Amino acid sequence: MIEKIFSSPSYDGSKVLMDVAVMRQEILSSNLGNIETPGYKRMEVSKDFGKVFAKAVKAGKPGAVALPGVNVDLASPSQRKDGNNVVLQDELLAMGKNGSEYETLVDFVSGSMRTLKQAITGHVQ
Amino acid sequence: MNFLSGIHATASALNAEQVRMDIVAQNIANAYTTKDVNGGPYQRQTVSFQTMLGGMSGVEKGVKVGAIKPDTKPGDMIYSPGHPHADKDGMLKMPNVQLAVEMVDLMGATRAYEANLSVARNARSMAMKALTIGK
Repeated sequence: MIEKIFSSPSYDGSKVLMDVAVMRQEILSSNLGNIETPGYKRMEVSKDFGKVFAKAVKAGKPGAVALPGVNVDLASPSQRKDGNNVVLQDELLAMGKNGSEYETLVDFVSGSMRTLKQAITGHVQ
Repeated sequence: MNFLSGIHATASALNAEQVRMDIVAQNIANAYTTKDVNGGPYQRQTVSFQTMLGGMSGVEKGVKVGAIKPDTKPGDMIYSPGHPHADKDGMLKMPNVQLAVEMVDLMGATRAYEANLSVARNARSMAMKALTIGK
């Protein structure tokens, strides 16, 4: 039972996704920090991570997915003369989304632990 | 990895924007300074940012003030005989500070500062949430 909860695919997958959320937060803070730096190109979590992760979920082993790499986004056009392609509202929206995702994952992980605790103690908190 | 993810990059940006605001304040304060340390009128200072590559953890890239350089564009000449800094024809060289330009710069710096503060808030709420794991 204990092994089941701590090695279930969804628990393992949540751990990976939480690490990615932290990484994304670091990337977003770099992008927003450099919003006034001439020539800075925004960074992002490698785009194929979603596909890799979905494939791993299908195979039942999302915990085995390695942390994605960081892409420097050269494709997004710059709306400014200095070549910087960070768009404030896009980054802020991505950050809000990332924060909510992280909270959802934390709630899920905590929920798994709560279930285990209930099984051990026999009463619902 | 930090407890507060991305906080080094955010902190470096807050510092850099602070410097920019200080320079704007200096420019506005000296908008009518007709005699600088170099003898001429005050020249407005400009701040340029650079990406900081080293000294960060993980994927973070911080920002630093690359250079603070004077804007060498000449200022207006106004006719003001009797002014102690006027030349023999009564013409006075004014600083090249334009209030509108400085105000726009100040607004940009303030908004960027606010954006970075909200990043810090977000990092904090993520860390606080992480502390509730298992509760």
